[in-house]
Amino acid sequence: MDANQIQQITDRISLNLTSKGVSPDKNSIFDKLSAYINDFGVVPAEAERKILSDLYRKYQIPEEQKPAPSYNAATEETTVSNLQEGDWVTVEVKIVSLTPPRSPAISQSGIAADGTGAIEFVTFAKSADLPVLEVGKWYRFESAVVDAFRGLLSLKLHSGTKVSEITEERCLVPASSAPLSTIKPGVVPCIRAKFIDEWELPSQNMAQNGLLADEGSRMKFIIWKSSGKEKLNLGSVYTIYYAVASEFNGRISIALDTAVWIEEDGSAMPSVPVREKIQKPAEPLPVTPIHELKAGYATVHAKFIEAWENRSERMLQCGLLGDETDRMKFVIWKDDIADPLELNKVYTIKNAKVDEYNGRLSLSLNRAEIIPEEGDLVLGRTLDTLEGNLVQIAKGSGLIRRCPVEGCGRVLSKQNLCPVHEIQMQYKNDLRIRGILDDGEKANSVLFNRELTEALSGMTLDEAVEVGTSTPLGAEEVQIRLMEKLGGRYLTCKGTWFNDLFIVQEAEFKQFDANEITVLMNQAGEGLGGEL
Amino acid sequence: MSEIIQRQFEREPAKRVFAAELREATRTIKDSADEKSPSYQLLPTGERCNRILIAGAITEKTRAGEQSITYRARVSDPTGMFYINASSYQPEAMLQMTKIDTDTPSFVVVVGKPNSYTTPDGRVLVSVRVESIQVVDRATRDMWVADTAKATLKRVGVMFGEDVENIPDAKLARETYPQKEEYWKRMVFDALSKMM
Repeated sequence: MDANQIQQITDRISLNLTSKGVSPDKNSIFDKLSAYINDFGVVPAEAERKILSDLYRKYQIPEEQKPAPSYNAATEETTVSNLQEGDWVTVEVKIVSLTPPRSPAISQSGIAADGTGAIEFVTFAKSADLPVLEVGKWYRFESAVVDAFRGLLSLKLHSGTKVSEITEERCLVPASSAPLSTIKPGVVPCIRAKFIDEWELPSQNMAQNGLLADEGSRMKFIIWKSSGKEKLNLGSVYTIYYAVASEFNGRISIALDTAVWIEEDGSAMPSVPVREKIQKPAEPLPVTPIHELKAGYATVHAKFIEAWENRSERMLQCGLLGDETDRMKFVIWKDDIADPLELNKVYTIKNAKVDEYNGRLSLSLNRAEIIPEEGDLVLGRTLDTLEGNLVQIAKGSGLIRRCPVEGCGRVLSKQNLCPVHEIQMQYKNDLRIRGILDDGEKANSVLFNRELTEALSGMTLDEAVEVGTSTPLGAEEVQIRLMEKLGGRYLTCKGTWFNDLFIVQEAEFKQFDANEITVLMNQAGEGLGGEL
Repeated sequence: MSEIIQRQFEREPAKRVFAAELREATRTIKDSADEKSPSYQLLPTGERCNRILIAGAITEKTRAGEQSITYRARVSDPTGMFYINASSYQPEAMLQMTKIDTDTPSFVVVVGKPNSYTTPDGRVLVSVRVESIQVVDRATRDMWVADTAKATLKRVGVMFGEDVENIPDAKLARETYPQKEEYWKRMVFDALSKMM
């Protein structure tokens, strides 16, 4: 912003103050304005307001008070999303599905919905005055009762409930679909998921069961025969309205008996794979570097680098195989023909099975063809790169004490208690950071060891110990200082994944790249017309 | 069957959003009626957020309340202003807020939860409850502007792309908010041009 415009704002501020009987220093106002606007990118109106309000305070001029914001008061009627157990309520809802009553005492049951959500409802047979509800029509229920059974809410229409049909045209805007990971017991207004795995039927009353999945998670579903619903097609994507979720042993599953759905073909969710029954390939596969292995079958060219103790009677051998790119656990089970590998020897292993368990891969060699090779290979590891903003430094970061027992090294509690070796007063100090490196799409858990923590923060372990013993907050102060140095900063890290934890091996502060701004400006300016 | 369907807790990522976009993000979405279910603000560029990463110059800090103290502050980015607050219920964030000197200008990076509320005259305002706030240098703020520009353009690309019918949040945002693609691209362009 040029000096002229800043001068105008300066004049406005000083005029305002003069009208309150104060004569301010115009030069100082001008300098502050240009610092805020030009150096710190503050929008001019906010800079003006800030400086004026600072000066008001300086000269003790009272500011005009605006009323404090408050929350909206509740409306007269309620909506489905606001219903709570035990409420007597009035709602206006559309009947979206009817289900066969589960008991002779019930005359009608099904799902009712409004724009905010959906709920199961029942009408009792003895309340004969109630009109027969029809699917697709809107009704006003006055004095219905919200009941709960095993955490599932339902709406009970009884003889005291006044039911009137709403004849005016109304449109129920279908709810947008919720991610499976957020589903709670109750009627689920809308989900969109792919049918990825069909299971055997455990009960004759069941029509179908299996797994539905979206980009974030998976969930079991059931269709009972009594519903008369059609079965889903494996591999298709469905938008499902008004299914009912319930919880059993801490796991949520959904029943589709009350639901209606729209089918799309499986190309709609390309990132969600359908469970395939993997067949062993007939021909030998080409060699794949260990770092690029995926669950299935693969041929590897690798060296037996570490033998591990067998943890099971059925196991012939287990350990680590390594190649130029990475290392991976392997297992050979006892059978009639299996031979153990020889340590430090290189093998070509054709069509080994790559198993996945809890997100980790391992090789099973029993049905593979194992060919010993001459010579050696250079072992290597490929580090993954992770970039993001260090948005959090978790508890347990900073100065920690480790158990001194050989081979243990566990972190001690504040009372110097090791979970295995009891009280250890001769602890070893250590420094680390457990944090969240957030790239805007995923919050990644990361771990920095002492060397990296020292290099990034500029605080050595000795200095941290000094801070920990000489300040009132102790070790907490170390954590606060780490947060001040590193929190909110952009880092580029290299390391390896261990389950969901990224163990950092190299890290540096990301550098600002002005070229990136140019590239982004071109991208943003595309198609914006000529007046840029 | 070793298949275990776990519903693990996954930390919400911090979405990058400019002040001019957050100001418009007045629609709250909840996936279930349960009061414990998380609530999200629907961004006008088609994604939900319940954690955001913002940066800019902190201009004003005020303290309110006696028994339970709340600090409020304003943070300016190249597109406008964020209203942030931290109360005694967030002791760490409040401690970080108390340490920041606002008599002289400085840049901050803030991680926080967006919330909307309605004023008595019916306007809906979006504020940010601070989880953490740090004073940073200019380079970090500039990287945030680039990061946020990139993330915003990506969201805009999806929302005004061919697949929008299959992306519920993007579809909902198009039905909810009036702004067109050009509006957000211009906001990003203007923000970046202030860096040059």
